[in-house]
Amino acid sequence: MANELNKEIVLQLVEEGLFPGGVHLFDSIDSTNDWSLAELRQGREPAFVCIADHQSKGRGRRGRHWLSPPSANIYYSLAWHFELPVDKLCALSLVQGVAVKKALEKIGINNAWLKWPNDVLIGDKKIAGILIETSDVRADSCNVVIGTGLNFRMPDNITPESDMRWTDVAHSNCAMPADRNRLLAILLKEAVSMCRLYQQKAIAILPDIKAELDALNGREVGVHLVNGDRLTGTVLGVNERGELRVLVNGNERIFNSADISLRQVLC
Amino acid sequence: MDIRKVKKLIELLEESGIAELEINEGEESVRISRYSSTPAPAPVSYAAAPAAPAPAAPAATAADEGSDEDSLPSGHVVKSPMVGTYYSASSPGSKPFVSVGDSVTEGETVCIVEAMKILNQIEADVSGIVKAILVENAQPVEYGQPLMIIE
Repeated sequence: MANELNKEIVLQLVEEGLFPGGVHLFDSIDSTNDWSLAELRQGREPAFVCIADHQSKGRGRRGRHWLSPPSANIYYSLAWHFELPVDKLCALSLVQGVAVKKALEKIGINNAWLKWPNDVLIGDKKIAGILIETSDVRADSCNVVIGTGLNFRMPDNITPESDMRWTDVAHSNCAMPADRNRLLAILLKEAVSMCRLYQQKAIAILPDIKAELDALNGREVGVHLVNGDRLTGTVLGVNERGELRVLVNGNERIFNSADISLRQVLC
Repeated sequence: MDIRKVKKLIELLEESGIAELEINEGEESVRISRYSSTPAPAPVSYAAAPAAPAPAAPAATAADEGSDEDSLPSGHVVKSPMVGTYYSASSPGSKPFVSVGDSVTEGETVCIVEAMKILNQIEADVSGIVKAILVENAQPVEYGQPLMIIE
């Protein structure tokens, strides 16, 4: 079992006034993203954070379930206001994936990498996932909720529901004693720092994280499209909008909404 | 769609005070307009919305009273704020947020447009009745593309 989450400890570790809308810690909640979106609708001012020890309806993309057992992992949502039109946020997922990777590096996990657009993996196993949702979309601004689930110490009796294999901090080569509050504070600091940078640079931030974006280059992947089609191709890289370029049957295809699987190389 | 059904719909329209009626049934769709000479302001990117109206049965076309193909039903056009993928429901298999004929209130989520793993819950910017849904689930959409009509 992982150590207990403590709001005061997290607050001590982040800069004062970072979250004017508060840090809200729950023993159990349906979903930290749902709570945050509801709070935004009711007028709570960002930035704020919702942290939960357990999620009863943890969500991944497109209604997929995010395994959220109690006293095991880290689940939080950061609500942030951007003075940017929503179509300029297209690289935010990538950038937040990089924020998680950087946070892991700060606790000594140096072999995590970013699988487009924002899964964080160690080897071929997923350690963290991010789901971003928008709210109050206006012409030149919007609020976003950045939900992150990071496997910290997944109980042994939990088996993955999907074909995606997973790992956790406890099974990594992390040299330091694993502390959920400390890692949570580091994750929040990195996420906020990336949000601030994104506000300044928008998609011009992409060259800054090029090394992370190139992690899939040259790999043979499966591309699962939302309409059910499945393709196989070789990753060429990402374009200036952060979209994935894949060589499929000799033609370059661009994807902005697809699941990329590595199973092709694993089989 | 059965021609008798279309005839019945025309009768229904004539008996009522409404100007236009659109019915979507699976792949089929029929729009019946009382005033074909008053096309609605045509949003520029209509051509990018191939799903509207869905390929109609010959009977439905006949019943369309020759309304301009480049026109949309009148009403408020909900547009996509970004390039992405349109989703009619929160997850595959669940009930769509809205269907044609539903009444929506301002601020209510009517669909999701996703790109780069950012999910945008598109909210109705006016209250009214959903008159038309111009895109299909999981279809790619462009910036500014009309998604639905609310009146």
